[in-house]
Amino acid sequence: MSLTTILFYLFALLTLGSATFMVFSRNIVHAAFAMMFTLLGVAGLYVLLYADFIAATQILVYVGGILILILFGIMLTTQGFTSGFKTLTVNLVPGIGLALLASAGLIYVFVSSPWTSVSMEAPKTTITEMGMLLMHEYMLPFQVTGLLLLVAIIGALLMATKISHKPKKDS
Amino acid sequence: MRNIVKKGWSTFRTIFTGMGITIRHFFSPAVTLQYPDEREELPKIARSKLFVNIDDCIACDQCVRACPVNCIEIDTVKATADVDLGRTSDGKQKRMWVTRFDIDMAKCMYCDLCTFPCPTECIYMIQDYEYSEYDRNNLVYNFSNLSPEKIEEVTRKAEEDKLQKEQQAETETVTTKPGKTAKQTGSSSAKSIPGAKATSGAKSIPGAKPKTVPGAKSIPGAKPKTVPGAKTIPGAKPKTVPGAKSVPGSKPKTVPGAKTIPGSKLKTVPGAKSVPGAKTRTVPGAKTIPGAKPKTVPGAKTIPGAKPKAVPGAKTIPGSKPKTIPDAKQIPGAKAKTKSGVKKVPGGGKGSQKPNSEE
Amino acid sequence: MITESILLLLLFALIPLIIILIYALFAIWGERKVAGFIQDRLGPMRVGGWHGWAQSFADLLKLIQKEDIIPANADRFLFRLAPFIMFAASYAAFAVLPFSSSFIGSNLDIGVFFLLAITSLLSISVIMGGWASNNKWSLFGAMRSAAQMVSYEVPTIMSVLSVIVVAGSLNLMTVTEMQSGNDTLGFLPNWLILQNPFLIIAFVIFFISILAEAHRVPFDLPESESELVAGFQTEYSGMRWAMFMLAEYADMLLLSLLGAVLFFGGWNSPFGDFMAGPAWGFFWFMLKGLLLVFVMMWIRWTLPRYRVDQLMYLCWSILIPLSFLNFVLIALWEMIF
Repeated sequence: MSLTTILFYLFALLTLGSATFMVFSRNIVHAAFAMMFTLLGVAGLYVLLYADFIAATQILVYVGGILILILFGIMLTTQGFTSGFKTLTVNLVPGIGLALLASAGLIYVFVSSPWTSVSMEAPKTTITEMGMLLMHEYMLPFQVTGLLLLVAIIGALLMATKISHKPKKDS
Repeated sequence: MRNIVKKGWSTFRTIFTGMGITIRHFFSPAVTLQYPDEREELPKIARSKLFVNIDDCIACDQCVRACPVNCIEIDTVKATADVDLGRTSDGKQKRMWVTRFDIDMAKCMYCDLCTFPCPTECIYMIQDYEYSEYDRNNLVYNFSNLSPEKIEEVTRKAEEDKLQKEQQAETETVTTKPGKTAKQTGSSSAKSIPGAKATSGAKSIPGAKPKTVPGAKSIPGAKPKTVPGAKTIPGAKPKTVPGAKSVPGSKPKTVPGAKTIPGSKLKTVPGAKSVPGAKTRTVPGAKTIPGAKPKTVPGAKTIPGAKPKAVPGAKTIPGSKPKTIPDAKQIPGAKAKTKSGVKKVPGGGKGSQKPNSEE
Repeated sequence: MITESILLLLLFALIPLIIILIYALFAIWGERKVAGFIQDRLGPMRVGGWHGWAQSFADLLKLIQKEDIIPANADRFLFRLAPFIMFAASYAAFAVLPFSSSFIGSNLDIGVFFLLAITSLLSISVIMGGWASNNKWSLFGAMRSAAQMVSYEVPTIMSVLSVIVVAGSLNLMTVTEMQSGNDTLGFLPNWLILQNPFLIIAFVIFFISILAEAHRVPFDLPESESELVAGFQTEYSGMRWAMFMLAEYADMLLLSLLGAVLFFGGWNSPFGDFMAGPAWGFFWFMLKGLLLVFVMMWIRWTLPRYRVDQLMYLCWSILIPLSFLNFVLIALWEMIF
């Protein structure tokens, strides 16, 4: 068993374990923090696949951004963060049905896919290829995404600036 | 746009100005004194700790009365005639055994008021400021250099002497008054009084003599009496200040070798109430006087706690009179003196009234 | 084979840890000295003889002996976990810093990107500690901290991106290597900050942002002692608190070293080939980083603290537009020259 294998199992265990905890946790804040470990475990798995850029993006965007947003949402919208949140199990039958359907679909894809083994050769660089693809083949989507984000940021700036001007006028 | 640039520029300019100031201080030497390793020399007038040069103390009690927080306690025993206590460094005759001279530095508020009245300048502040203690009781400093045995002996001697004198006085019939005063004032006062008698030898003015004799001691007492406050004081003395101090005080009024002095005192007194300092100036005759007046004045007026009874009594006078009466009894001559004093007194409303009433 | 490689890994990983620990001990002492000198005092003087250099060791001993207090209503697991995650995040980021020409923890292609990503865990750990303490001050501090770090990540990343555009690589080793030599104007070192005037603006933005990310004055709102006791670390004591402290100082060093790599040539000597080499490289690298740390301390004792709305205003209305504009200008400059 190589070091990589050990690490793979470690990360897999981390991902699955924290995901299970997240689903079954009765405390929604615990669930959110468990999700952090899930995302970290997935990032670790990405690294093992030589996709370190994706891994870092995963951490930066999901852990550093979205998860914090989720936590803010939890903590700022309810006052129950000290007593713990109640998670109820509702819609049991449709939920189970949906889960069964989804797993059936996944299993079908897993079985029917023509799996091929790829050699685990470490690539010399991990991001050059991706940069090339983004800047040539997927130029348009890349630019459109960039534009969208720019608009979003400008909107955020506008809102922030307006809000922060109010106290200024007062003074 | 121009505004933004301007604002941005001024922001950075001010930040760099501030940083320039801080970096200058970074390189300038520190002002810290590494205390246990280095010590700053205190100025000569620093008030850090009281010290009493007990060899110079004549037990005049002025520091006790000056102290606003009562942190000084003095017990004295009149020296018998056969003992010579020597003289202070400035030539004053010592007549009292200082059996106790305690200063509670935990109470002391470092006002320095006790050092100025001292006629021999034996109490003063020293620069020692490192005398913290784990037990508050250790902050009570005992300056008396007499051993317990010695105190015992001295006290016994004084008692015997007093007894003897009393007997003598009884035989001479005039002594009833002093006896009363003695009872009222308490042992110490009694002691001093008899002593005074002994020295003076005159029955009629026993009280007066002691006062005059001790000089400083008696005078202070005298002043209080003379002072408008003094009127109250006489009453006060018996009650509040059983100590010898009060007693001599009563006598001094009557006695005061100098009638003029009392007069001046009286006059000054009214003013004195407001300005003790004035009193001291007016009564240069007696070194002790300056000290005495301030003491008595504040004592009577400001320290009602101590003499409260006396004070109200003083105002009402009638109440005080009874107190003063003993004095009167003691010294008919005193009355005369008081009268004379009274004449001058009129300036002081209360003072004048009292003497009149007495009369 | 496996054990050997693991041992080697651990040994490698230990080097930055030792650097961090030694640095933190002396930085805490140094900060107190700087504070003292700036305020015309002397600072700690008594422990260890010369200028109290062992003060931090004494403090560490004290902290080790302290009782480990966990508030009764705290979330015990998260409360315990938070300091470790915080330190782990700071520590992991050191992996991609080129300490000298011959030592770098992990020569990642995405070096600086990894660094920025892993430090975003800091804000999560801060929220974790603040929430788990079950204390209003802690929660306030955590909220402020998270909002601040998320906001200031944007100008940080934009200014880093400006450098990346000029350098053409995310790998910090490559970025450093391309700054060697003394060709600028004939004698100045090839540091990036001297090569492009707009990179000076980028550095200013970067420095302001790392002040905010490291919770340094004037952006120390998350732990502003006059308002929030100690912010998210209010309930922490003993070694857990020390862990937070260590992580904060490590973060400070990390960001300063990043600044040194990106703008001041990393381990390159300022004198060209003179005093160059792996050991000297380490010396220069740490010197540059520590100088930036010193400036941070210097600023701490100069400027007052921002208000929350001013903080956000500064970030969203000034730094972010400016960094975007600056980014475009740098790109144009690179195209033209």
